[in-house]
Amino acid sequence: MRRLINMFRGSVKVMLSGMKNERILNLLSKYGIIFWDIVQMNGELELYVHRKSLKRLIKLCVENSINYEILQYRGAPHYVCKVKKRFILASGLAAVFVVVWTLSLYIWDFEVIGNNSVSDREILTVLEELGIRKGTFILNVSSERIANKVLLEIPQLSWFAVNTSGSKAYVLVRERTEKPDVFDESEPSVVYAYKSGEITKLSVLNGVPMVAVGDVVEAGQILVSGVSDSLSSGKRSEHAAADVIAKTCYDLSAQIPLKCSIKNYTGNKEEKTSIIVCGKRINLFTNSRISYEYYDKMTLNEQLAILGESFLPVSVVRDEYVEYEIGYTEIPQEQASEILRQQLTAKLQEKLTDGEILHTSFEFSVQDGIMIAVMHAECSEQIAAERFMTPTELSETYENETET
Amino acid sequence: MSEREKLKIAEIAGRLLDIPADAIGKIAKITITGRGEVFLEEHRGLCEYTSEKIVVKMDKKTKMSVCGQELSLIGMTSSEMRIEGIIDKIEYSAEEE
Repeated sequence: MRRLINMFRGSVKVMLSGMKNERILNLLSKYGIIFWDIVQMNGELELYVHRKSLKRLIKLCVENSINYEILQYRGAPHYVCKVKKRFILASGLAAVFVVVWTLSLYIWDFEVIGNNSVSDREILTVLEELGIRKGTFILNVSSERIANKVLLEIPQLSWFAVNTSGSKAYVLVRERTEKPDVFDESEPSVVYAYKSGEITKLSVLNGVPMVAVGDVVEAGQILVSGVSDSLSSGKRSEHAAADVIAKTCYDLSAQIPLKCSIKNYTGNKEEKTSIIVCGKRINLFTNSRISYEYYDKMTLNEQLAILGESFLPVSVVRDEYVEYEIGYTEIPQEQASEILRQQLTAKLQEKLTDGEILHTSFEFSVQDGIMIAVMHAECSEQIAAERFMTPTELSETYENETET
Repeated sequence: MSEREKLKIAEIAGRLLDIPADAIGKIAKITITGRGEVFLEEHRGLCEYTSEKIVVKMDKKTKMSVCGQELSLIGMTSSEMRIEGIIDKIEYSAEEE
């Protein structure tokens, strides 16, 4: 507290000598000069007095033949005096402060957190329609007011909130979890093959098997029927279930040109800097022409911020143009075949949902500078899928029941 | 009446009326806080000032010595004084005539 008061009142650090230290201190106290933080150094005294006491101290020193030296001015009055002499600088600083403070009361940046399927753009577009955009006054952003409207506009969201920190708005969202498909196990159903193949394993949990191990089945063929014989009513429908593993075959192809173009960077680059103030771009260059025929453009956008939090509507955009020349290169056939081999294997892995690759063989050919690869693969995988019985299948069952 | 006589009367009156002596006259008052701070009121000036010993005149014939380590005078006015440091000993002594 004392330090704070001294900072506002202003203080001066002085060095006094030429008399016994005790006597100097007694004289100061006798003259009513308040002093503190006394340090004795080689027979000299260093102490602080209030800025207003300095004149009296000097008078006392002169009257009593005490040597004095002013070492340091501290506190707000000292800086005010300094700034008074530089009015333009002071007013400039004040103006900058006012502008920065005013701008920090508006939103200049958005960050959407928590979205996966709904894009940032979609959320920000809805916010813009509700009047929340870059340049909106912070106090006009009411999370409660807009949350319901946003949730109605974007049904995929289950929760929405906007928090502001400095001039940045954090849009927090939670996405709605899709209701899983519920497969009613009491409903009559059949097991069918969703891929063609040769059955290697058949485990029927419920229902009547229509095929046996070693049979070759087509995609869509019923493997296990949901209609079974009943002693009491002749036929009855039930929920069929089974695990069916089959050997499946795949023929996949891919191609790659053996001669391809590449970029040879020359090492030449140009940089053009612009400033974007409140959405308006100001170019800091006169010649906007790029002297290169082929070039890559890299843009670096840096938004100015105070203490990393309060974003200002000012961003520095640096466009870097890197020159390159187009060259051609030949891919060796071994390398090309390896690339195709990897591509086709990855493609096959994607197709296999629940299974493993048993055997693969590749055929490579080159036509017009393009290498073509064909992969023949044998896999072992689950091919069974369940579906409810169609009304026709059900009616046939009931007809048989009636006839019986 | 001399100042010394005035103080003597004040001391007697205070004792009779059960009033603290410092409330009546200009009698030095010392407040010691823990081992680290001494606050003096109504002192008569500084006689010696080092980091091991600070001697303060209390009245015409009495001196008080504060002995210790890293002693420093934090602030001083014509009547008050604050000393800080590690205080080992405080002793009174009569001033030599």
